[in-house]
Amino acid sequence: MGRDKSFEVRRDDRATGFNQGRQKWSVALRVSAAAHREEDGARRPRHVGDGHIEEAAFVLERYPIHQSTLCDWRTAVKTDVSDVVNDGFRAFAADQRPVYTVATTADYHRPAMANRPLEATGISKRYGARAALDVVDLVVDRGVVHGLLGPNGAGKTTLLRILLGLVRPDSGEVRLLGQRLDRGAGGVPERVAGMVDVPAFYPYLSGRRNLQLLASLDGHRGATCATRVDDVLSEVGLAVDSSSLVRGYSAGMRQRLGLAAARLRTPDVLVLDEPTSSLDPRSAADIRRLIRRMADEGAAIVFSSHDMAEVEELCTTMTVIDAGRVLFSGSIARLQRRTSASVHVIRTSDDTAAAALACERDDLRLLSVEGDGLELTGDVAAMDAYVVALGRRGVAVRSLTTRQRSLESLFLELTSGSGAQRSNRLLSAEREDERRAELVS
Amino acid sequence: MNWRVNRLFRVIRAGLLVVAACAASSCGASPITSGRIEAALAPTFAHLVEVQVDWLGLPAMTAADFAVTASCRKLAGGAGSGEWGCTLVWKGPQRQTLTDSYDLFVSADGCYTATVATENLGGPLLKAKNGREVRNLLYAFEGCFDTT
Amino acid sequence: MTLRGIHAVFRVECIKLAAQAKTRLALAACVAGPFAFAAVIRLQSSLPEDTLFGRSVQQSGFALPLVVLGFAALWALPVLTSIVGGDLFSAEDRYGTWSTVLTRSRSRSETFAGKTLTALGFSVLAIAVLGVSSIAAGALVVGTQPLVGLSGVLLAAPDALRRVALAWTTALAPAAAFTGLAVLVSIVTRSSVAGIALPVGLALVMQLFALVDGPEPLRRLLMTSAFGSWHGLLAEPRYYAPLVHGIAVSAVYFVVCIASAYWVMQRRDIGR
Repeated sequence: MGRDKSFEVRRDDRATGFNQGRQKWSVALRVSAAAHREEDGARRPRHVGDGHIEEAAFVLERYPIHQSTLCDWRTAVKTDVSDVVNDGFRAFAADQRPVYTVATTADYHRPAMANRPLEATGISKRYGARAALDVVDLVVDRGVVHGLLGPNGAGKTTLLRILLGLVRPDSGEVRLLGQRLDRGAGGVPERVAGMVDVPAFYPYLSGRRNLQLLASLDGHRGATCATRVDDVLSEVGLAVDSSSLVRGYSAGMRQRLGLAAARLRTPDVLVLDEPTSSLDPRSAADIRRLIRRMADEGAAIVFSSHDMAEVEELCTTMTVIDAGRVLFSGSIARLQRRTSASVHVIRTSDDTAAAALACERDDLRLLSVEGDGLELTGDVAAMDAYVVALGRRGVAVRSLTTRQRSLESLFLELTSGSGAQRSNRLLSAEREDERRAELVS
Repeated sequence: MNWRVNRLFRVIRAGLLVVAACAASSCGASPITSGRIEAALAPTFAHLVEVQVDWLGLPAMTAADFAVTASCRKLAGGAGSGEWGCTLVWKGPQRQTLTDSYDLFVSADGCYTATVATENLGGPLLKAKNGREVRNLLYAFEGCFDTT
Repeated sequence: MTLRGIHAVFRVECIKLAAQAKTRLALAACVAGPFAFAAVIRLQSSLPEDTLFGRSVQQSGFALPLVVLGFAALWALPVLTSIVGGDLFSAEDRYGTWSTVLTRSRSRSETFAGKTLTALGFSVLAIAVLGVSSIAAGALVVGTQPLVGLSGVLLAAPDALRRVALAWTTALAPAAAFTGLAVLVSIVTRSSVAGIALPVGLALVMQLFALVDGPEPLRRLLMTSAFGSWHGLLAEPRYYAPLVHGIAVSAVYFVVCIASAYWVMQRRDIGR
């Protein structure tokens, strides 16, 4: 069975008429010269029926194109890649949709896609002697909700401000929708919107008037703009209050107005700083629904939050920052793989003695002592030895259960202790993971 | 970023040069000299007499007819703004030679207020030929001259 | 930086200004003030003799706008230029709206240019309203009698009107300089109070300096000296040297202030 030699994602610029519908990518599957089946000894192209194109196109419609998706795509199509990739394959250029050639390479690191929605590399910022951010990277793809977590003062707000051009980084580059963010040149690029701080508006004007002025600044005027303003206001639930002065708005109403102002730009990239912090639970749920909807429509969203439940609910991937350094970046599943994800809860007849014994052992870690028992992490063998040792000490085990750790406790473990140690541990583990992924593809 | 700083410095430098040139063009002594005051005061007085003659209903005369000459000296010492005393010698409507004194207060921007120091010219109001009361322009008047 | 962008910012700022009570009050004061002054002159017997043309106020309606001009230089014009110019930028700090405004499609340069243009526009408008109103007040309340000029020459009504209007336009240059100063103070101090107090205070200090007979070259470099450059227009023969000088000095002040303000604005980090 021949192995594919090269697999790269390339954009075919001969396709005209770029469709801004964001999700409707058509894919032309064309094999590069090297990726032929070799076992036949001669180059033999294989033709694939229209049915295969439909499937591939359908799958790629639902996922943004990046490495892990290629794996998903293969699984979904349930065919060996080399069967699908074919020389002389006709492109889907009939509808003027953008055409990509899809191939794999052994040294594949990241897809060479022209316009990643949000890409920040090497961002550093110092305030006097203090490093607010220390070589931070952030990449968000389409349709992804990316959470930014960290303790207070970690640098989340600074990073978000840098993404929006409000703060100038000492080094590093920010690319939004392919354009380099240069504060001197234009404002925030079209279709990028953000909300930092408690959103502020002019208190002597009404909510609607504020939005109309902001729309004017964006260059939109007239009747269509007015209807759009009304639309976004009703989306966030401010249609009734929009005529009253912002002076009288509550914090929650201001936050919703801020989201409406961001929505007004029909953003492909959305940067939010704690969007639900001052909201009551129902409004917060509405906002989360709105964020989810925007992500489903293809926007790339990054938001910072303190609420673990919210992050768990909304985010596909996340970045954890502490003291300006990235501790972790990736999906929640990956975070759970990194840190010990399962917690053993043990109830004994003498919790104090059990806790003391747990501290003595190297292969276990005591997370907490609660009223209903001890929380420990460690592998199965370590737990077994521990239970045996407890018995020898005369402590009886009343129950032992295992459960998945909450994101919150993962986060707390991540952000406690020395930052450097943790990030080193994480980085080395991540590199291993990447190499493994390459071998698989 | 550097080019912005450089541009700002260039602007500031240019500005300072312009300003220094302006300042240098008349350094040193105050521009308020007796010569300038006399050159401004005499014609002003002459024109005022012309207007006054017209308002009083007397036969019209032109400023040149009055042949006003002025001589001024600073009352408080040195040149520059402040109190000045001026003496005007001129030919009246009846072709008589008249001498009048004025107290001037000259401000730094070249404007002065002249108040009559003698009794000959009458009070603030005068009676015209037709009986109406008109303002006495010569009682106190003001003027300005170029100090550049 | 595009013209359309600057125009968009300008338009938004004008709408905001129109919605604020203070601008409407200021313009209303510009309209009503001269008329109130004229009424007081009519009723009173004593004249404002310490201002140029104060003596002629009851005699010729054209003296009133010149008295207002002379008086406005002391107080009203620095205040009028700072009311908007000294507040436009620091208001965003006061309301916390910089991050709202700067995360739209307009660059910082366009925002800066639009706001500065708005401040200048208001200064011009305020001066125009004050000037037209004082000319109208003089003409309506006192009359259009000929005016005795600064060289004793009697100026007929059309000539006097022309000169008075021109004298008012000469106030635009120093007003622009004060606007630039107000903008700079507003951006640097981020405080609207300072944005009004500092330019007005500076104007006062400069005028005191002029009174106290300081060295002549320095006096010429004061921003307030340009407010008196209209004297030559009311003399016969007219002399323009102080006017040219005043315009040059005002232009330098304006450019230096605006350039510095722009530089500070571009470098600034919004927020922490």
